Amino acid sequence: MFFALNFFDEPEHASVLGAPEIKYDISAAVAIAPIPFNISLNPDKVLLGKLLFYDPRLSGDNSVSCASCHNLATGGTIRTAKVVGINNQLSTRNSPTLFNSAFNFTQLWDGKFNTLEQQIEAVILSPSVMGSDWLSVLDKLKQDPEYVKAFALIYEDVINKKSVKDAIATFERSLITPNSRFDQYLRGDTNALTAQEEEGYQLFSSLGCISCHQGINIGGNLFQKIGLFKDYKSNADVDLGRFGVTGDENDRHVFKVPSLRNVAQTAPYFHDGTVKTLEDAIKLMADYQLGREISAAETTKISAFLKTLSGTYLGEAL
Amino acid sequence: MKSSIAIIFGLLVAVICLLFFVEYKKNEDQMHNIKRQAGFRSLNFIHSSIEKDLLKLQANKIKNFDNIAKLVSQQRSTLANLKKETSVLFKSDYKEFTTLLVKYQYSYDKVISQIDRYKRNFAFTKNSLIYSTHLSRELINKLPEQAAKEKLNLLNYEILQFLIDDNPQNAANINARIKTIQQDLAEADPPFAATFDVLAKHLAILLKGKMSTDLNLTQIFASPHLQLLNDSYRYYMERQSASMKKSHRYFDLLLLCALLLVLVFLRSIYQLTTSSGKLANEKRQLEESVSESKEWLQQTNLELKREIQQRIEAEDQLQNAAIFYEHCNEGVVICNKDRQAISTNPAFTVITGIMSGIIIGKIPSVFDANKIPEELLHNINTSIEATGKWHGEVYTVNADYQKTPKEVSIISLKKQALIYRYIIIIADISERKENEKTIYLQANYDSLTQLPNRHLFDERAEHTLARARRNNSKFATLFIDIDNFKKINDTLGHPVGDELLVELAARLRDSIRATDTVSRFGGDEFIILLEGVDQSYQLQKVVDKLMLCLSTPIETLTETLHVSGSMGISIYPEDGLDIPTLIRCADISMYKAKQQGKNTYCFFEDEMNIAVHESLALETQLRSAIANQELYLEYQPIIESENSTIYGVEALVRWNHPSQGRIAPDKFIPIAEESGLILPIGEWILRTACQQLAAWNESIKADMKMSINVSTLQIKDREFANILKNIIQETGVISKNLNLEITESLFIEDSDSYIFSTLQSLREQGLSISLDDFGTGYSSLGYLKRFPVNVLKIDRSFINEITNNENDQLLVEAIINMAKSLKIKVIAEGVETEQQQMLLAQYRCNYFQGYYFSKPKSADDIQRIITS
Repeated sequence: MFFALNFFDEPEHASVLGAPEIKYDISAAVAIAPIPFNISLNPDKVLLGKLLFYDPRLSGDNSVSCASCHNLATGGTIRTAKVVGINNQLSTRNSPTLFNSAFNFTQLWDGKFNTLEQQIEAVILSPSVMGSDWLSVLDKLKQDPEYVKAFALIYEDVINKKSVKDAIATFERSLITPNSRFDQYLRGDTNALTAQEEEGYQLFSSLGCISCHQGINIGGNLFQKIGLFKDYKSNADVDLGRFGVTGDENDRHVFKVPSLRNVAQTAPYFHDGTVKTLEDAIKLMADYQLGREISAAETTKISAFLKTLSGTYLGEAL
Repeated sequence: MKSSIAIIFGLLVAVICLLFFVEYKKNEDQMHNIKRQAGFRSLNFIHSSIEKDLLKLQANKIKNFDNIAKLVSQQRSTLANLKKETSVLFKSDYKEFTTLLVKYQYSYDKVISQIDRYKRNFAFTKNSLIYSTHLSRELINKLPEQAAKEKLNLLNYEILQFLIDDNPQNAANINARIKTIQQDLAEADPPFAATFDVLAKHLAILLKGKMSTDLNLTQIFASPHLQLLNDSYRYYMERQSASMKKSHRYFDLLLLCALLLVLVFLRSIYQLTTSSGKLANEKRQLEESVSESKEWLQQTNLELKREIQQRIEAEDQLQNAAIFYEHCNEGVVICNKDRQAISTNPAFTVITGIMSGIIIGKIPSVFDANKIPEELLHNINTSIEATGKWHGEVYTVNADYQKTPKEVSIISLKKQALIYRYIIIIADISERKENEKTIYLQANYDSLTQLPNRHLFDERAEHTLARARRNNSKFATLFIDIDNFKKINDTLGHPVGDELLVELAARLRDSIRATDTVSRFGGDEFIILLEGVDQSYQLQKVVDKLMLCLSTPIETLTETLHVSGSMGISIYPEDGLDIPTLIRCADISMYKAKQQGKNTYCFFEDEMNIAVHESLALETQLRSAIANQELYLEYQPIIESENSTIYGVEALVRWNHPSQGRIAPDKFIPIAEESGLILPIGEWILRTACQQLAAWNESIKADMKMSINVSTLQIKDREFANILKNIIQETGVISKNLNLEITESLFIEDSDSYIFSTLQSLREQGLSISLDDFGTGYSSLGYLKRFPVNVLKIDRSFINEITNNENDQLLVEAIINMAKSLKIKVIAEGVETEQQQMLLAQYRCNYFQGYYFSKPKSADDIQRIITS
């Protein structure tokens, strides 16, 4: 009788599994899927993350904030080839847009980081970008009563690197741009595109662009070599890309295929930011990845199509 | 008796508490267990989902990589959760578990990179498949010959066959077909041969890509990661059920104890009630025996205390060492006498990324001849033999294949003259190295353009000079200045100027060999050293290339900038034997190039030194020219278009040099401007011209106008307004007959409100202002609208060609129309033929000036013309 005694209830299995739910999405069966209108995130974290995002105190000399290189008013990036970090140091690559970056499978041009959190930490600690360290960042935040209050509310009084990264990453995850004209088209509104734009989309598919630029982000979910038909050389030092991360010979000049969402707002283009216009970027892609020049008419159509990929952030056009 | 009951009761309570605790632990373990099992199940599910997705992708059932990417990242987070859940397990019970999990992760990391490669291969194979279809259709539509079309169709069949069955024979058929078509087209339809070549390239990619994706898939499916995951799962389950059994046994045992204690407790209570009388007696006996043993107890106690103290101290030391080992920032590896690692601390894993489980039992890199240079290993061995330790820097490969510098100390521990332990201490010094590099870069490179700065340039230049001396070879020093850079900076802003410099710097760097040096010398000046230019055509080629790269338009985000540079070149040893001289010579030649109209280059010549001296001499002579009355004015008539009468004249300064005769204004005016002499000269011109005008107004023509050129420097001079006022009063000239000619550079170099208000007040005094040389500079409507200008003078260069250049015609007509709409009058300069005059009259140009009407003439001649 004693041995059968049980002091506690059996734990409920379902609530403690802790494993991620895996759902299959119908969107896998189409090449390009629209961006959802909403994603559920803790709104307090988003707000706190936004504060941190615009706060230059995250950098060593209080001169650079996340927003310095990712201006939400200019497509979530800065429209220069390279960006300037702490002490006026120039970046080696073009700053990628933050919009929809949560949909990218890895972060940065070479996919060095798997999560936004890792990327945030690296940027804060990098001596050429924000040049700070966690001790001083946390110290500065703790001196600000506004932050103390906010963290107390959301993270139970804990201002540490984990909560800071979590807040910023949550804000960054909120930066989605739904309802582009092309998304409206994908959702069934055939009038959303003009005839020219629709022809551009057909060319985009029939020339093969769509084999890399697919998925919800129209790119951002694989690596690819730039220069299938000839070596890519830019004016700057030749960038070896993912080779710098893996050291694998196969990864020379391999980069993450960038998302084409809002591409009209994110000039200049490519990892080195050397191409200023959409038309030039399209021509360059045809030259390097198809091995052939395409006509001006085709370029114009594809460019018109790409311009329909510009979405809205918080209901406003980018 | 009472106290023994209390003790028993206490024990009972303690055992029951323990019982609760053990049960609680058991439940908690059970919860962790469920989470862990769920983790394993999720991982299994993720792997099978990925495999399914890969096959679906191959079959075109899914059309994007989103799901696969999502699954890969879910695997990462699930594994991280599982690791967190398993970190609380007792290590001794789960010895091999961590190792198995690490092996699984290691093998799966390889799969992830295989998946990345598969996606890549798949994407470009698909790209080529799509595009080759596109091209094939295009060719079939365009090819004129039916035979060729049919061959292409056959090729398409063969491709289809290959896609269904990719055996080598089908691939060989395709290749053979491609060759025959290529030969046919090369002979029959060369224009289509090029298009077909692109198609052939895409087909080659398709053939190769199909094989690579198949190979990728085979490797992914053959990977042992699932086996390893299941191994670790099985191992975990075995251990888990063993430990569950154990804890069940503990629980049962404790229950038994509790039961016994309850019985004892009940019995004691019963005894207490029956034998309380015996109690007093027993108590006395007890007290006696206690006092006997008390003394002995005290003695023993003292000894015990001493012993405990010693132990605590020893333990303290051990603990300190352990804390240091666990928490120090240096990685520590302890090896046995065979140099196999037997233990590592956490910092080691942090620094190298190598898990402890992986290195244990293996020989660390610093002892491994395969991983570090043999010479280094030899050094290490000798040093350890001689002194027992070694210290130095080693580059080793981390788990993520990054080669990073590390500072390593090796200490050997000996027992009876034999080494029995090695302790390796590793510090990550990549940050220090990085800092050293940053400091070097800051000290030697220009922060904007990343080019070597003057300091590094001097250093390299000295090396170059030394080499040239040794080898009796030549080298060239190129001094480059960007034309009109200041204007760009002032009008478009510094950020644009900076962007321009960065772009030009990059172009320059890319245009020379890696062994040559290009350096930013400050502002918009660059210096280039070219070694080994013994043949002049070589140098000429490089110079042409550099000039081209300077003058290629630059696209900024907002506009296209047309820039150019002027370059001066000096050669060692002809032009100088040391670096400062060579730079000075290049600098002088650069100025010469600027004088020759910019966007050009100039080699140094000895005459240049002479020319520099000459211009200095001229400047000295110009100073005394006014006093010596060597300057005089000539006047060129301006003709009114409507009635062909003289409307006014433009005053032009001339210099009659005592020994060199007449010196052209374009030779001495720039010198006057550079030296500031333009101020007194300008004042003299104003005064002389006004005197002349007053005389003419009085004697021959009351409304005759006088146009006087005013330098930008004069307008900017704060005294100018006063000087002009005095002259007008002195000479009594009517200000509405006076016109000042300014150039556009005034607006560009300084667009502040001072200029504006100066011009405005001149207008208010009745003077008119004309804009000279319109069309040659940064002609902008904006200036005309903002600044109070009454007259435009169209530059002679447009008028020269106007009769046979349609562009110039359009331009001039447009300028005149535009000026009319702004109520500005127009003068055409340099009118030399009747046709020009006719055309301009047709455009309704207001006034003419030029040789067709009259050359500049002396005051007397002008007077004669008017009166006649």
